[in-house]
Amino acid sequence: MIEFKNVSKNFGNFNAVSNLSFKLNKGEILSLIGQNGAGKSTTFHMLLDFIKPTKGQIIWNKNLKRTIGYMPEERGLYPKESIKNQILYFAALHGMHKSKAYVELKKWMNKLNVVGEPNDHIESLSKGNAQKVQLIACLMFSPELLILDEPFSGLDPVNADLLIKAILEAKNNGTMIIFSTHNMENVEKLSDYIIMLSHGKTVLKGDIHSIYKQFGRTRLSIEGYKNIKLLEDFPGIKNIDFYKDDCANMELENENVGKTLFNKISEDGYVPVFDQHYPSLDSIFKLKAK
Amino acid sequence: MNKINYKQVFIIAMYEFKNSCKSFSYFTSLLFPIVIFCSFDKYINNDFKNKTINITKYASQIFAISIPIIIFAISILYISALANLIARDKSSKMSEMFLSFVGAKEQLLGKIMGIYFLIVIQFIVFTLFVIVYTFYTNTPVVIDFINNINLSNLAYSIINIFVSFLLLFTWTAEFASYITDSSQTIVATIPTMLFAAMACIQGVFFSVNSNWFEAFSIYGIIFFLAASFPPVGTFVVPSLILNNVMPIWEAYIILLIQLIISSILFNSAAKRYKYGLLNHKKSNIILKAMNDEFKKKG
Ligand SMILES: Nc1ncnc2c1ncn2[C@@H]1O[C@H](COP(=O)(O)OP(=O)(O)O)[C@@H](O)[C@H]1O
Ligand SMILES: [Mg+2]
Repeated sequence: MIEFKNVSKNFGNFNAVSNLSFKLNKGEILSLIGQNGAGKSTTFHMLLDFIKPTKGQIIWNKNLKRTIGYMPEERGLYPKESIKNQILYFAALHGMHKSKAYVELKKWMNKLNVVGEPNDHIESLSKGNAQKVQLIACLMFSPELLILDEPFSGLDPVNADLLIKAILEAKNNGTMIIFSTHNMENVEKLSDYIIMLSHGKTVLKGDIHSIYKQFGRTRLSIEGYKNIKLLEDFPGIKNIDFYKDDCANMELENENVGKTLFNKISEDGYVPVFDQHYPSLDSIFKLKAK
Repeated sequence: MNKINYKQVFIIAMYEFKNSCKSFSYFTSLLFPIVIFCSFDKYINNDFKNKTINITKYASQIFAISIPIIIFAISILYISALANLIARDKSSKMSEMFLSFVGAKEQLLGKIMGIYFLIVIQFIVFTLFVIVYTFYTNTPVVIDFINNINLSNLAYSIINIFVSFLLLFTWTAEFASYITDSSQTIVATIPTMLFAAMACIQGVFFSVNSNWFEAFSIYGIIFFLAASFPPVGTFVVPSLILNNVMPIWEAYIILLIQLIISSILFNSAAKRYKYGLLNHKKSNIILKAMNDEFKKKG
């Protein structure tokens, strides 16, 4: 288990992270969400002991060896080196045996669908493949903690799915995982917990379910309702967007507005789509980032 | 303070050593002194062989003068090699990931050791060359030369060269860690090169006239203090023992103090090196490395 206790980091007078607290247990995934400059990478740097917190404590469970697989935002490997030599060099530094490391390398190249042979040079790989090789370097020694800084940037959807699979497999093996992103698409599929940072401050925190609950089913989509324009002045509806002739997306002041609205609309006959849902993480993010 | 993981240091050293051995520029630098040696061949054959010049009388002096020159020559060849290793890490953007499983001290020491291995190979190759040359051309002048240098002084001089480079290399690495693209590599070598050049010139002047030295005079004590600061002593002390004016035990004390101060400086340099590795902003690397902002921010 790792615990952050009221951790703050100042650079001179500038407050990059303030009062961050969380706990992470074995096999849990935490995602740090925030715009550029929110303090995500700084949080990782403190966790990696690259820099010391100005205030607060970072506590590691005593029986952990503190092995960390880290994929930074700045990605790269030795371009002139072959995949095999590069990975075996890292493995040796981790104290891993050569032959075991080579087996792991082949296994992971297969799993992540890296196009190329172990003897290929890094510079001959595409950006996505090079990134996958770097991910192998983080995963192959089964670290206790995996830190991925913006892991999805630069990956196409197919490769993003492969990455998600790999992360979930690590989770099932008991690895603690923290990743950062400013793109919400994959957060929902992966995270047990979310922390949203804005200018270093925690603006939202918790498991996805409770975050959704906090906002309620306040988003509504209606399709195929011919009197849709009448909803413009309906009490409790905000920010309504009309499209086509009979469709609209809107925000509700609270969940209960949906009920009264449903009753009213159904008086006018059949409506094929009435979809009342939680706001997307994306819109929560935009709301909170303001 | 964390203990240094020497296993990692050794793995890095071997990796960098093997990689450099494969490079073309290393072979150039390996053969470079041999070419120079060959150009003196004519003089050695004519004058020394016919004993028109008595080498035995001057062996110690010649050797004394050559120590600072050897240190400077090695600087030219290997300081940029070291800066290149670090520039490669920085410009390929892998140093941040690397830092997550290999500490800054291990990285720094590993790279310096790797370069030391290259220097050792250079010494071995050159020694082998001289031996082969001596037997092949039947020139006893080299043997005469070595016979006239006290072996313990020779041993001291060689250890001295390696102590000298601990700090020269550390400085270079510190500047090089601020490189953001490989075009800045040469800039990172400038401060150390300038220092080595100045110290070399002083060392040569010093060895021409070292008879003023008296261990227990006021000048002797001032000298002792100044030479204890690395790598100043490494450029000037060998000439004093080779000219038999400084007792060898005092020379070893100076060397030991320099080694201790070097390792203390190494520790603080490792912190700046780490800060440099994490720094991705393009800037004047010399100014950036010299200003202590890492203390406020790190
Ligand atoms: N070493 C540093 N010195 C000064 N400011 C820094 C340093 N590292 C980060 N910052 C500042 O801290 C803030 C947070 O940065 P960062 O953690 O990299 O954000 P994110 O990863 O969320 O995009 C930024 O405004 C950045 O400029
Ligand atoms: Mg970042």
